[in-house]
Order: sequence, then C-alpha cells, then structure tokens
Amino acid sequence: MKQNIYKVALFFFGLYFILILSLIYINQFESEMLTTHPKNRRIWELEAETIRGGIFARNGEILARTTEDHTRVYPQKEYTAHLVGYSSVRFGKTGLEDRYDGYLLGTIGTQKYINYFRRLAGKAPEGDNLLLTLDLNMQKVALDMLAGRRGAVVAINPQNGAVLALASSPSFDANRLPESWDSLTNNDNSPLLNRALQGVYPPGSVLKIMVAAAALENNPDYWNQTFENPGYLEINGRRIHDTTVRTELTMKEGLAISSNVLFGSLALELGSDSLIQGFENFYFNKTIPFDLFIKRSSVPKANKLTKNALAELGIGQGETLITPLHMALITATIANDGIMYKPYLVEQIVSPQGALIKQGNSSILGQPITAETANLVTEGMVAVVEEGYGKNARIPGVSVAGKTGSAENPLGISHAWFVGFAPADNPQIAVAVVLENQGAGGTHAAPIARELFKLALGM
Amino acid sequence: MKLRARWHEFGLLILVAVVAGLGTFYIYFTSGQERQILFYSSALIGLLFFVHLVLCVWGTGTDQFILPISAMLSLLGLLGIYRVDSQMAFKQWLWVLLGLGSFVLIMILVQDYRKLEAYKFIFMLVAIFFLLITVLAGETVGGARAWLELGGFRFQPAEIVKILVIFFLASYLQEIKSALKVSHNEVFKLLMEPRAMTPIIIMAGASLGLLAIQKDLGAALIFFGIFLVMLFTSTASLAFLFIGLGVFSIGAIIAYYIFGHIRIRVLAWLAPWSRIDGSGYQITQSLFALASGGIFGSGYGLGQPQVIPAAATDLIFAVLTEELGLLGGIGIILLFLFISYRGFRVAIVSDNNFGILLATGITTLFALQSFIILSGVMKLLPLTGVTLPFVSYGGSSMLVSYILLGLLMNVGRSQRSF
Repeated sequence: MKQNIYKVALFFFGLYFILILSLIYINQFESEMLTTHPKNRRIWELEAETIRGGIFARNGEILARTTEDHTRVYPQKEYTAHLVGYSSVRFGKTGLEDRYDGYLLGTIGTQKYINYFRRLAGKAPEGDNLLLTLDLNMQKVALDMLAGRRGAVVAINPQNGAVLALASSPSFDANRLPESWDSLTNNDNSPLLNRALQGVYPPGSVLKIMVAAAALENNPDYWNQTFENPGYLEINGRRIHDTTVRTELTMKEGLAISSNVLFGSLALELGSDSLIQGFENFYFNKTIPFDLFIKRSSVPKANKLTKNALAELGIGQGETLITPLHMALITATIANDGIMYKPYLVEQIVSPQGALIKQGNSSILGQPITAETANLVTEGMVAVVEEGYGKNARIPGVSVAGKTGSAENPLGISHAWFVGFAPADNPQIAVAVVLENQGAGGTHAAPIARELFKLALGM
Repeated sequence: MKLRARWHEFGLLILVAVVAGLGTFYIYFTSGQERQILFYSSALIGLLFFVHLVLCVWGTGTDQFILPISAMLSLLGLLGIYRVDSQMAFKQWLWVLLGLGSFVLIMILVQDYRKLEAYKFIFMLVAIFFLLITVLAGETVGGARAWLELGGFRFQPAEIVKILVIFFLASYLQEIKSALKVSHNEVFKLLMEPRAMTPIIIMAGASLGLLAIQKDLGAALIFFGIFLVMLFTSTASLAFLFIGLGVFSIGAIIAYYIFGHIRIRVLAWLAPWSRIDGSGYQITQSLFALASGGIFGSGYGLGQPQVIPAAATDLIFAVLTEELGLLGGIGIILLFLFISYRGFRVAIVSDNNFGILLATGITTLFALQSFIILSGVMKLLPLTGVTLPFVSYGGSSMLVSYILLGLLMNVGRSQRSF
C-alpha cells in the first residue's frame, strides 16, 4: 500500500508543479494583454486616484491637466484635441493621452516606485508631465485659417524633425465629450479623425517635388535636359493633359508651372523599378516612427504598374495615397539637404518634481537624396513661389520655396494642397497644407502656409 | 504530565507570528482607528502558541510541520479577506479560532482513532441522511441548494459528508481490500461480482447525485477523486481507476447536457473573453488580478480586491496573488504542496491499514480540493465554487478542515519524535 501512496503523492506534486508553471505563464507571459485589457478596471481605479500628469506646449501653455477633484480638463479645447486626445472612462483613450498613458499615470520608471511610497503615506500618486515641441500660437493660427473646412496642416522644423503644428479640421472639444459624443460620431465630416496623421489623400502635383528628386538622384543630367511638350501625353490611347502651352521645358520650368506632360514623361523614362524605389526611399509603404500612430502612405508595387499607372504616379495621381504629415516630412527632407529627420512631438518627459525622465531626441531616419539633388529641387520650388502658382506664399524679403497641388479624387472636387519651406537657403520651417475638395492649392492652401512661415520667422 | 519540546513547530510558529505582526501593524497604522485589530491578532497568536503548548504535552510523536503550515494558510486567508471586507475577516477570525479549538479537542479526545473503524455503517447512514435532508429541506444560495439552517445557524452539509465519507471508505476498503486484490487479467471477472462493483456504483452515484443537488462539478470531482485515490491505494489497480474515471466522465457529460448551470460554467471556461460581461466575468477578473501584481505584487494593502467578484471565497487566491505577487502565489501553492507531502508521509509511516487509508483520504481531500479551486482560478479547469482549504472565507469548511487535520495528526503519532 505504501508504494501506492508514493505514486499518489507524486501525482499530486505533478499537479502542483503544473499550477506553478501556469501561474508563471499568466503572470509573466500574458500580463501585457491582461493588465492593459480595457475591461480590467484596475487601470480606471488607478486613474481615479492618480493625479495624472499634465501636457504642455513649447512655451509651457497647458494643453491637458487634472484638477484637484480629479477631472481632466483640456484648456485649449478644439485647438489641440486631436494630438492630445482624451482620457475618459466612458470613451476610452486616444492621442498622446493613450500613447503616453504609462508615464502620465506614473506607472513606468522611477515614478512607479515614488508612487509606491506616496500611496503608503496616504498621498495620491502622481504622473509625469509631457512637454511638447508644439508651437501653440502656430497651431491656433493653423486651425483658425482652416476655419472649419475639412483639412489638415502640419509644420515641422526641418533641421531636427520637431513638430511645430499638427492641426486637423473639423475638430472637437474633449471637455464636452458626453454631451457631444452622438453628434461627433454621426457627423459626416468625421471630426474625431486626426486627418494630419490618419487622413490619406492623393498628393497630386505636390508630389512632383519628390518625383523630381527621385529622377535627379538617378541622373542629375535631367536638370539641364529640355523636355518636349505637345500639350498632352498619350499612352495606349489615353491622354494626360497639360494646362501649359510652352512646347519646350526644363525641369525647373516644369516645376514652376507644374507640367503634367514633363513629369509623366519623366516617370516613363525612369521606369517603374527606379521610381518605386525612389518612393520607398522616402518612406512610402513603410511605417514612420512617431509619438502618435501615422497611417502608412501607399504606392503600388513596381511589377503591378501599367504604363498609364506609371505616368500617373509621376504626377501624384493614380493609386498613390499619402498622409499630410508624410508630405510635410518629404518637404522637410528637401529643405534639409536630403537628410530626413524622424518627426517628434514630445520634447521632454518630466517628473512631477521637475526631474528630466526622458529627452525626445532628434534622430535621422535616412537620407533618400543627396544635398545636390535637394538644392536643385529647392531652386525649382523657389521658382514656383516667385514665378508660378505659388505666389500666395510669397513673403517680401524672404526667399520661400513651395509647390501647389490640386489632387483629383474620384469623389468630387479636387483637394487643394500646398507644401513649402522658408527661408529657402536656411529653412526654419516646412509645412504641408491640405484642404479637402477646395480646388486649387495656390488659392486656398498657400495663404495658410505663408502665415505659418511668418510666425516661424518672427514676422 | 511530561513536557516535550517541539522546536521545529515552535520556530515555524514564530515565523507565522511575525507575518501576523507585520500585517497587523500595517492595518493598524493605515486604518487609524482600528485598535481592536491588535486584540484580534494577539488572541490568534496566543491561541496558536497555546495549541503548541498543548501539543508539547499531548502531541508527543506527532508531525511538527502540519500545524504551522495550516496556521500560515489561515493567516494569509485572514489578511486577504480583511482586504475584501473587514467584517467578514472578523467572522473568519472567529472560525479560525474555533477551528484551532476543535483541532486540539480532536487531538486529545480521539487519540485512539482506530475506534472509529467500528462505526463505518453509522457514518454511511448519517452521510446519506445529510444528503437527503439537503435535498428535501436545503436552502438555495447562489444557485446551489447546498445549505441547511439549524436554529439560525447555516452550514453546508456536504462539508460534514466529506468527513463521514472518508471515515467510511477507510474502514470499508481496508476490510474488503483482500477481496479486491486481483491480477490485471482477472479484473473483468471481478467486475461481475457485486461485492466489488457495488461500492464503485454507490460512490459514483452519490457523487453525481451531489452534483445534481449542488450543481457544482468541483464538489462532485472531490468526492469521487477521494474515492478513486483511496481505492487505488488499497488495490493498486489501474483498471479500477480507469473504470471509475470512465463512469464519472459519462455521468459528467450527461450532467453537462441536463444542467444549464454546469453548461454555463464550462462554456465560460472554454471561451471567457467573448462572455466577459456575463458568465466569463469571474474568470477574466481572476486572470486580471493574477497578472496585475507582477513578480513582487502590488504590496499588501495596495491591490484592488474590490474589483474581484467572490473575492473572499472562490477567488481568494487571486486577491492574495495580486498583492503578494507571483512569488507570493507560488509560496501559497508550495504551502499546499508541503502540507500534502507531510500528510502522505503520515500515511506512509502509519502502522495500520485503517490509519494509512484515513491519512491518504484526508490528505487527498486537501490536495485535490486546493488543486481544483486553484486550477479554476487559473483557467486550467472550469471555475467551481469549492473553497481553498484553510484560506477561503467559510465556517463549515474551516471547522471540517481543522477537525480532519486533528485526526491526521493523531494518525501520524509515532514513538519517535519528528
């Protein structure tokens, strides 16, 4: 009988061993899913007792803070709603409130341990503060000039990738979510959508700066070449028309007057492999790392392109889709001698006691083009503003580089685009503006960019 | 009266007292006014050392580890229950005191446990009586008709039936075990014999009957598991084991289709996340708690037990693991492993067959019951409403556990000191 008891005992020890392994598995390997699960009320209990960290703009303006009675307030209302997001028991978390939740709640890093002692001492736990690169003044001007129209404005410092403005319109007031939720979610204009990061648009003619850059990178001689322009480009019986009447053009002139024939022919001459490679060097079909989620910009694979589609890519039409932030980043890359900086919005994470927890460093994503190429394209973009459609971006005494666009879309009137930077020789700011269904970019989008340039240059 | 030192027990009880002291002072200093906690705590520690002293006199030759382990488990249970509801903790404190009292009484009064062997059919009849009376006059609490009320005092007869069934099986099996001892190829012949098959059919029937009354797969599994382990211990026949498991499985499958209550629990186990707001609520909340403490836990007093359902009873382990962490959780499992080890050791060193079977039955009860509820909490098995012995809130379970522990100690009495 005693032999049998040994077996029974071993059997139970085996069962307990399984229990221990199972507990380790749940506690260590499933913990990520379990501790962040939205139905796990711990996070909200913690939320209710914690003094959540604040979010501040470049000059210390408050964008979000928690009051003594533990309500979260957003003093800038519609101006920073999309990028700051909201933190609400009922509606969840979005924006920076979501992405930096651990820091804001004080559950990451040293603050976690400080909060242990605060709770033991009966004090409310505190979260870290976020200091942003955002220029609140510029952000306000951008949203005011969007004036409730559907669209987005992104401004970046090309020399380090710091995001200065990130505006999406129409916007919403995160302080009034309970009252306005139904109308916000049923609104056809999707005010909750952050168009600057998640809106994907056909770029139209603004993409010609990138096509020009990709072409020059392959062969700098294109710059001095003269292109024939019969007024249309016919491929397999289909024509791409040109609004210009000149019969011979250089690339610089082609940029200034936005010649479809020139850039369509250029795409055909480059061939799909080189062109798509150029797109991908500029982060098409890739995820751009950022403090917030950016939707991927897309371009078809090289082997799937017909000749018609290839020519359309050359003029920014066809199946190409891009986010406003990505367009601003491409512009900033050309402004910054071909060096593409990773965009960043969080400058510093600071503890409640004021100690620096994390520094948002600028870092280089890549260099898709050489400085020589970038300078040639810049020359063309200056011509756009001085001689072409971009005259609404002109500033007396400052050399401005830009490009307009009016992107056809199958659903209605073209989207108005403007991208540019200033000053052309020592760029302080690169901007992308898109206005949905507003037609010509030079008329509607360029004036917004000009105001931002003036702010950035202290004018 | 001769006093014999029990140094292992003494040292381990000091450890229990230190943990109790730390918990007490934390509660005292954080809650501010609760001065009576000092009284409750010192009464508990005092009683523990009093029991220890009694064992120094009457407990010569008994195991020195069993009392400190069970005391540690009860203490952790009290600390966990206090985090859920302080009033419940005070009631539980009373039950632990009564449990320790009955432990000592049993140890002194039933030193000659072999006398119990003579009453086996009385135990059987009383067990059947309790089961029947529950069916006829039981009160329904939480979906299961499992409670009896006597003069304002409510208890679960199934807990008492557990003791009676272990007594009965220990004496019955040791009596017929020579008849059941056959070689493997003769097993099927034996199955035709009513003397061999009757107990299997009766026990399977009784367990499944209990399942029907309590609508609780866990309790039925414990009863039948104890029976199978004791049967295996006395016969070493794997054939009986498999036949028994087969009969029980068929019964369980039928029960699954008959009782909606059981079906809901099984479905909640298979796919809890899609039922998170309904039947899957309890198990998912349990998993949240098990993961949220990390390795070292949130710290005692810093978890969120108020968001855990049935926190003081079924999910007490989740409450403790959240605050004491992975290490604390593993520690509790190891305490159960260790008390099982000491229990089976008692069975092995016992000098008579009745004692061996009694100790095996009692230890299997603790081991199996703790495994079933712990695996339920971790989603290894469907979550059932059985208590975690010595830890969960509940008077009947606490008393019965300590009474059985007292008997186990007596079975383990030997001339040489441990």
